[in-house]
Amino acid sequence: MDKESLKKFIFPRMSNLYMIRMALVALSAYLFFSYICIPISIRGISMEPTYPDGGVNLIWRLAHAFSAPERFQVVGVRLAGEKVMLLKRIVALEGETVEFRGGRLFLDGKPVDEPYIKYPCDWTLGPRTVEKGNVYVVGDNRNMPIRNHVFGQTSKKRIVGVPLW
Amino acid sequence: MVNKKNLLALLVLIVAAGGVFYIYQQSDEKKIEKRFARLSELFSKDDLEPALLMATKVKGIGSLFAKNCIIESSDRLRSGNYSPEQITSHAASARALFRTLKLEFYDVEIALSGDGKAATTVTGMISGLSKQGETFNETYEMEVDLVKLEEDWFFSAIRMVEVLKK
Repeated sequence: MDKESLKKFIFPRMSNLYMIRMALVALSAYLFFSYICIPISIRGISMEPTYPDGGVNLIWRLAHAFSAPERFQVVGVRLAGEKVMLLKRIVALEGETVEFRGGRLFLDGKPVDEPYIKYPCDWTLGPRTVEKGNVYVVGDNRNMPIRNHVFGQTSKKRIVGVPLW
Repeated sequence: MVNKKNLLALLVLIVAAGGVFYIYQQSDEKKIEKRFARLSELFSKDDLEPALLMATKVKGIGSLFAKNCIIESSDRLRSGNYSPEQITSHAASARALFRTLKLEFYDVEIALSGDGKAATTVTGMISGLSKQGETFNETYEMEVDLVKLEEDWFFSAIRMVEVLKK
């Protein structure tokens, strides 16, 4: 690349076409990162070690455009809007009965293996059935007292999407 | 090159945007948003907050609430009717438990009813460091009502929404 070409590349001519191209790129980026792939920064330890405090990720909103949320999928659950979400893992679907005995998850009375749980857990929670239109979500860090961990059933309508990695 | 006509159009656009922004600043929606921002500012505290500043901020919190504010939460002990003085007292007690506190509001959705009342939904995030050195981070969805009295908006009801039901 000669000197003149390099200069042109770094300082392009502000033609009308160039301005339109810039506006289109900015608009596309805005639409993509606002409505399709939402950047998030993770605050809190409820999903450790899978998603550590301070991590960054993108929430893919089209994940459930053609399919229903699945068990063991990690999802973003919206609150009043989408600027703040809860990052949790779906452990049970509608109609299923959830229970914790001695730190182990039971679905419909049967124990379930959860390879993503890395820390010891001693939770005990009586059986409860997930209502229609809901899913049951829990964080991966169950090494905290059950009363301090935010989890439970929520409407599928609140699910925004899934983290990209 | 960008010609004069385009520059003029850009200038008109900037002036129009400035006008819209100015009108928005005077609207009830903006006043309500500022109310939330003020509550956030007064409730938050830094480590080693001077006593005088603490007293001023705590007193200011009560002044943002209506004469009777209804609080509804899943914790029945906290639910009830509160006067601004009671809010001030509870806020002072809560702040005293922490070395640092940060209250933030996001996604404020405002619906004005036209009779001096507004219903809002908002996400509240509270984080900080306790006197024992424990960090905490809690998030809530809330429905907050406000009433307008002499051009100012006051919080009149706060209902905690149960997003996850154990």
